[in-house]
Amino acid sequence: MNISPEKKQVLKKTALNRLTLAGKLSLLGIILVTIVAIFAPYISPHDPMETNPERRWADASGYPLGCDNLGQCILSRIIHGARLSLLIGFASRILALLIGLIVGLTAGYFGGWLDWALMRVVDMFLAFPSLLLSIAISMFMGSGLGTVIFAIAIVGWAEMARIIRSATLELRSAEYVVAAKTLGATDLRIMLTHILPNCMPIITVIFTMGMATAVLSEASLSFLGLGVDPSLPTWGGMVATGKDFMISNPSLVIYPGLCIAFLVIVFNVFGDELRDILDPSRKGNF
Amino acid sequence: MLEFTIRRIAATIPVLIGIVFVIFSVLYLIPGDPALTIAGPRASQATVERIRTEMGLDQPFHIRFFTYIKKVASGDLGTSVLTGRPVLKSICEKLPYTLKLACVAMIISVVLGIVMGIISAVTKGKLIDRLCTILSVTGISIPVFLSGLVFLYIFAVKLRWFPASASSPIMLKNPLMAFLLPAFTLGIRSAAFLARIVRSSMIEVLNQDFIRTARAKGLSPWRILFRHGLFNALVPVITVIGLDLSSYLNGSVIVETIFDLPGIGRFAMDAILQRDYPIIQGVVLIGALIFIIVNLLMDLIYAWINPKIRDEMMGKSAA
Amino acid sequence: MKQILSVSLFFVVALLISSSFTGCCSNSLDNIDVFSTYISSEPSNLDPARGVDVNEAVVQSRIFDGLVRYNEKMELVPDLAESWEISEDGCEYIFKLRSNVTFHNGQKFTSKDVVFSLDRILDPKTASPRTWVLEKIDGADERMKGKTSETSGIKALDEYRVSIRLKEPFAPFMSLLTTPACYILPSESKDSFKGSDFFDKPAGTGPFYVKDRVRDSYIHLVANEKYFLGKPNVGNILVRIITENLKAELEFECDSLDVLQLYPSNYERFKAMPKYADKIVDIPALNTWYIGFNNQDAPFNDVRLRRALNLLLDREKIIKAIYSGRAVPAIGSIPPGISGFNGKDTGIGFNPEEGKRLLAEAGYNEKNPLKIELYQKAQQSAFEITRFIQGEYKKYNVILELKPMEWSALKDAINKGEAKAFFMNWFGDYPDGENFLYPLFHSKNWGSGGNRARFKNEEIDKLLEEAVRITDEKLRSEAYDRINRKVVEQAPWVYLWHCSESYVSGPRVENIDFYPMFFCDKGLSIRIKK
Repeated sequence: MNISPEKKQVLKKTALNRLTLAGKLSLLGIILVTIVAIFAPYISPHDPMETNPERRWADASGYPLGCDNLGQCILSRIIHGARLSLLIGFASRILALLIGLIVGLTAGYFGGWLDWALMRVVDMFLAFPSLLLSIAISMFMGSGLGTVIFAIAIVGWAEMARIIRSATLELRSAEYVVAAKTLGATDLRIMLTHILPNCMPIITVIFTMGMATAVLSEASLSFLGLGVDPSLPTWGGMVATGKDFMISNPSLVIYPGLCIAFLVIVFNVFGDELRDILDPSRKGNF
Repeated sequence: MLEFTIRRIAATIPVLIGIVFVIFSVLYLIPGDPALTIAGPRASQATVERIRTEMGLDQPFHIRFFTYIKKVASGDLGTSVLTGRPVLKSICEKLPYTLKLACVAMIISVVLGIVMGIISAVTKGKLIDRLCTILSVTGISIPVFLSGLVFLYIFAVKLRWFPASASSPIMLKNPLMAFLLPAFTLGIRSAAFLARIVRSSMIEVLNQDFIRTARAKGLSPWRILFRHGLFNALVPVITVIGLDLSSYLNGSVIVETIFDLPGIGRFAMDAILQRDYPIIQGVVLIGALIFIIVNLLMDLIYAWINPKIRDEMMGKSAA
Repeated sequence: MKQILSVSLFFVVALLISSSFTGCCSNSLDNIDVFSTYISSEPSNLDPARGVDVNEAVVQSRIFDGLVRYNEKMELVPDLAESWEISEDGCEYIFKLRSNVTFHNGQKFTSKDVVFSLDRILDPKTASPRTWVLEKIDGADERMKGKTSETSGIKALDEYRVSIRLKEPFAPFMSLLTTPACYILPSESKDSFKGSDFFDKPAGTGPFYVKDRVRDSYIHLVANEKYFLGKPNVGNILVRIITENLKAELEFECDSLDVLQLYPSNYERFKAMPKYADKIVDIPALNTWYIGFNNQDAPFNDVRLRRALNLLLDREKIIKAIYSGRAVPAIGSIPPGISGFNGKDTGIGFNPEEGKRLLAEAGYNEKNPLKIELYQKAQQSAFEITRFIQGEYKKYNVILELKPMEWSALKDAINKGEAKAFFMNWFGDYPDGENFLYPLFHSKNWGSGGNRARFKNEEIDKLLEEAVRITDEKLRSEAYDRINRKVVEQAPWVYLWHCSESYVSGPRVENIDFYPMFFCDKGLSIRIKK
């Protein structure tokens, strides 16, 4: 391929252009789901939580995907489900990132016994059977949105902390950091202005990948009946409800199931692409 | 090497104590009274109080915690509050099911993953490679409970190939068969994962000088692929298998629920629902222990294969 | 390279094909004299003094016998006791025991075993949660407090005669004796009771004994050749432990289960299949579903509000949707077919106009809607009901907020009185009106005793205490009817319905009886096609 050096420079700047077709498609998918989530109340044909004994299993017009066992509009529930999935995924990742950032930066920057102690805590959370911990946490906090976000974040931060720590470890001995130190910059300042911005690419990557995991975890918890209030339309919860009716009404499981798979796939593919661009050293692995 | 091993083992002890502490605190905070579960309906308040005292539930947190740590240190995981059976004995009964499940799943995932990875690497950029990539991305993204239900639907409902339960001796001559479908469900995710890694490390290896030399020398493609390519490409696979173990334990909670296998995952889930504290603590402890041991083993194998990494790891754990 | 590719592809395809073929099941239940059934969770303990739930009782009833039992028509029939006499004052029961009974372990059954087993329940060292069954016996209180080493009211008169004396007349006492707590254990094995080993595979006198058992998987019962009524018709019962309804459903259709309990989720599907349609049995079960209130705290200490919520609920509509009519709306706590039920309207049926009026009177309207936190079990089948109820109440500005909790936490919240409103059910222990009133509404039984609604009414307490002393069946039935009406007037619950339980049996089953009280089923009538 013959590309002039100047052109190459431009291409490098706009990461968007460097996405492959799959990457662009997945980005489009993420945007699409986000739009659906934001405008859910305007798009969905019915109230997703309106039950009616007389509409059980009804295939009435105006209900494109039919009604479920409670007479609720399946399409409306799926549309509103996007909202909850994204909301929970995003919030739990932000929380996990916050903890991971604090622990990872501190451990990597200061090193020594603090690093050792913090990394043992990280080891602990990595070794924990994570689903069991999530279940136990959602049981003591009771069901609710905050609980699910917390339960997912608590098992996700350790991985983030570990990656951020190793990135910090590398940056710590970088020339500009050493220079800043000799100039008398405070530790906090160095961490925030020199190390953090240089960690951004990798943070972006693990955040995107983590969204996939978080969406999956939310679905798993809802499936086990330990997620948010089941009257709220979540995809995992819909699969759980549909399970008992699977033989006579497989669509009850299939539609929300496909939605979960779709959202997870687009986040995985997009995160993968981002990594190839932003962090080429770890190319090829998920 | 010995120093490295000892150091790694020593580092696990605070981790294990920490795990016990976390699970202990969480269980302490969970509402619901195990004494009520044991007492059942129509028991008087006095009966409930008596059971509570008997279980030591009226003791303060720190006393209960240290009593437990002391007991664990002497190899006693306590007894189930509901059945009165020793926790360790119950876990030993359940563990074989989950291990069998995990082993079959691992075999499936390793075979499937490596084969798919090789195919992908060899046909890099072609249609088959694309297909394999799509398959593996899907495999990673589909939640275990969904693939489990879909398989149940296809195999059991549509095709009527339903392997009877894993456990009914009268019906099934070869009980391993019953594990195939759940193990497949459990293994897909890591198979997809492996396929990606084998693919990228294969491509990397195949582009290296010594392979080109071998090719130039006119060695048969088989020889090149297996003697030189695969062996070198498999090194990163080992770590992935270690890390996958925790996903097997998570997955087993769901797979064992859907396929109704009496393994450790369902056992733990039931115990949580019934507030059987000694069992939950025991399972979490044993699960974490297995995870740590396997990862230690993987690291050792890895370090043994590749001394450079060993030095690096030692440097890291010393830091 | 192509070569490699094709060989690898062949390998994958071969693997997939071989795995799918080996996965195919041979339904090898044919020609085996085994009845394959299931329970939904592992019985945590087969000790009659310990077990507290359905799944334990189902297994226990096949291994052990009591003095008397209920048959499939809910009639009291002799079991280990051949006959019995009740003294004039209604306080002393003398049982004549069968003399041809031996335990599975070879020990002969005598009056000694009866005295031992009943006394063991009250023994404080046993720490049984089921002491309430026998607390009416003379000397029970002293025994439970550890003041005596035996219960003075339970005596062996000779080798095959036992006398049980009560503190005061208690009419449903015979019914209590049918419950699993009163199953008879071999007294000579008592030293092995300490550890858990004996109760892993306990020895009783029943028609079946445990041959083999894998926890959370199955319990293999084998017919007892020496059973006193003769060997049962079926040689083996395999009690599988299957927690997931879906799995049970699939196994049933593959003929590896011989019986399946039907739920609203799959009833219609089986009814539509000609192969199964006429094999479905609906048993009017002894249960009452309700929404309980904490009657002591605001807002539900206001009887107008409690009545209003009863009147505003169209039960028929929900029953039609969920049960397709296989349930009857409850007009009181006593289900049909039980002494004390007479079917006459009690004035709490659907009546929206009156309901709205009462709701307004209690101070709730559009501007000030009633908001209720409804505590319930975190279970799909429970949501199916509560979500509909939520939708129905919403029409009348009653906002129901569901608060799903796991079973043990839910019980805790209710017993502490935290739960102002809760969705619950009550399954009877024996077919007697007393069982649907005394534990549920006597103020002595607040909390875990059964009166979760914290209902307290001195008049009703007194009437309930008097009713158990009435020995005449007809008079007692009338008394319970009166009490039932008085309780309904106070509306401590929203009475929902009594629903039947449905079962379908597989093609291998030649004969099977289903019992309204699952734990009375000894499996004697089951016959498998040879």
